[in-house]
Amino acid sequence: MGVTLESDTESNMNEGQTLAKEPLSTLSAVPSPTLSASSPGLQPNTPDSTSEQGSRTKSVLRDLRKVSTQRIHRSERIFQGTLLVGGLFVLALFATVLGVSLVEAWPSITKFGWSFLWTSTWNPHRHIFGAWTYIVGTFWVTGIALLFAIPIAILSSLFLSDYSPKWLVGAVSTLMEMLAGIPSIVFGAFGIIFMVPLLRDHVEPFLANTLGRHWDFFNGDAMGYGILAAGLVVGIMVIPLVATVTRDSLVMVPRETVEASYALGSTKAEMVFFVKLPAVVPGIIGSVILGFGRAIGETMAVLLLIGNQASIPTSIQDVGYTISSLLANTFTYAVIDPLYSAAEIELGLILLVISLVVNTLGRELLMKLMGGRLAGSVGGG
Amino acid sequence: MAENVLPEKGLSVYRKVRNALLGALTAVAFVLAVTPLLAIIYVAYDRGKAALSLSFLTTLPGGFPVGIEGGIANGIVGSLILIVIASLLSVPVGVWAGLYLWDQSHTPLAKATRLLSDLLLGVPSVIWGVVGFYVFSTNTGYGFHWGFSGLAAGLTLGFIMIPIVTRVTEQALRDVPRSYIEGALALGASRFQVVRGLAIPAAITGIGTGILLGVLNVLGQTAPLIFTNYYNTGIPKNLVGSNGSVGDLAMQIFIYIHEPSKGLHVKAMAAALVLTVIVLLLDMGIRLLAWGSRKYAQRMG
Repeated sequence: MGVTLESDTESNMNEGQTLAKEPLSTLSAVPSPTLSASSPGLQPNTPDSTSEQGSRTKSVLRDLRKVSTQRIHRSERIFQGTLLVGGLFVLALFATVLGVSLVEAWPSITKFGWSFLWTSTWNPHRHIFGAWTYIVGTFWVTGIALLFAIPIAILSSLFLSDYSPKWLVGAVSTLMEMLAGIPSIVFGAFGIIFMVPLLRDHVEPFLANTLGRHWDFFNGDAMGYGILAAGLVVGIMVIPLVATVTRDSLVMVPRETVEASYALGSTKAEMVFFVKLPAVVPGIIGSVILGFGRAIGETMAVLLLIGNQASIPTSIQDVGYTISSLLANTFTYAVIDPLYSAAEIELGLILLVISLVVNTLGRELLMKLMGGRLAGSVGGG
Repeated sequence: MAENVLPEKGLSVYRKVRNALLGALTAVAFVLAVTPLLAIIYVAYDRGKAALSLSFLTTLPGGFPVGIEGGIANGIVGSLILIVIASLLSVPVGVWAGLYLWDQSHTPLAKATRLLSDLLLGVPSVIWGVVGFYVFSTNTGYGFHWGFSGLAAGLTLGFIMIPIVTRVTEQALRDVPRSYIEGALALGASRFQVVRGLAIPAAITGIGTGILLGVLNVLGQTAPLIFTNYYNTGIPKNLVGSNGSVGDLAMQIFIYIHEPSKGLHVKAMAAALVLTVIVLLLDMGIRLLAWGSRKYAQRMG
């Protein structure tokens, strides 16, 4: 079954490539590649006339090239050049993002070097800055969010693809996609009004009384605010993204695979969990990578819920600080001091590099699977 | 898909139980996935309904702490201003870049542009805020020195929109059948004529969808505004300089929910409901547009 899936995705990929390689500009006569390719092939067969025929082919080719370049009228080339300017705008925008971050972070990069990454002191008065506390906080929130979101998202997309009644599928898929567009500030406000009291009064005392008796990791003051609240709310935000992408790859599992597994006598659950699920692992990995990229840059919901205290969490009930929430919270104070602001922007640069790498990976993976169509979503809010 | 046709006999109890349990597990997960999303809308309505009225939408905030009386007119007007500025920047640039990627899609430069444009989609919004601050708002160094202002924030949001509009425009242009384009070129149309007379009209619903999608993504952005605009309780007379900040719905929710005041929390939830409803309506509009264009394409054969 893995084979059939692979061939399927491959043909999809090829389709995408041919689409991409069918540009408008190749339509006006470009020298025919078959002509130039045939000339070396002729040589071994007719050794006597090699030089004569070769030179004739060459001259024909030269003429063709001349004609074809003349055929593209100057006004056409000017138009193509005008279009190019639009592309250059996008390149300039990317250069601006990277350039501004690099230039403004430079004082901090040169002063602290690599040790910036694993220093955990952050003292604006003594001009000692290190990213470790915030990197750890960021990964705590992202980790909790993904641990919460991924199983729920994958299982619910399995439910939608195989178990739910037909009428529910369309409605719920649309609903999920729509709810994915709710701004993160609304999630943050929901967290403060609903999630924090719930965690403070019920979930956290419960955790402390059960698991907390054995592991300190689950103990702590039940405040409601903290990495758990932030992680759960970010998880809720990530669920629709992961579920939608996973469902898109589940749809592409060939019918023959499903029928073959039924024919071999498997129950429905065995088919879904042991045949279908392994077949879409690449799609799931892609969706998880995208979810990671979304979660790590999340700003407003985290800023409202994490407690904003620069300490490394040791328990799931602790408060913390993430890179994005630190920037949103303190950047306007930091700009007065060049080194302080440079250190904050270097933190931002770390975040930028992580999300660029993650998004490139996810994009390449899903492009191969889906043949070019990729749901775009802006990270954070 | 074939319905579950298990034989009556022959399955061990273990397999029967496992079959039922795993099926139930997916159903539970589904409920867990959908409930919080619906709960958000319900909680916003439940906690905010006390403040909801028509005058909530049309009056400026007042009282002490500011916002305890009055409504969110400043936020609605400010959000509109920001979206208009963002669209004025991103629609021409995004469509232009999309045309370039479609027309010259095979060139290495276009491939690089497509990759970088896609990467811009994933740039975290705080980074956009920092970039917007140094390009538009800061009063020292390079940049435009516009201070915390509506123009600075609008253009920063425009930056965020550009890659979205670019990608959707390119996709919409690719969905135009190649035979149309080839036919026009064979009849001797110039590239400009093809683009103006054929490609853009054929892809216009797709491009419109892309613009709305960009607006949708930008509407709830809060983090970039912290760096470039902050907030205004009134409606500004100009959009540049020290008095140029505009109000914004998302910022308003953020500021109200941050205050330790029950009354402001009610206002925040009401504003959150308004923002959510706007976003969902916009989303529905996009879906109708896409659905309508599909229907239209089907009728045209």
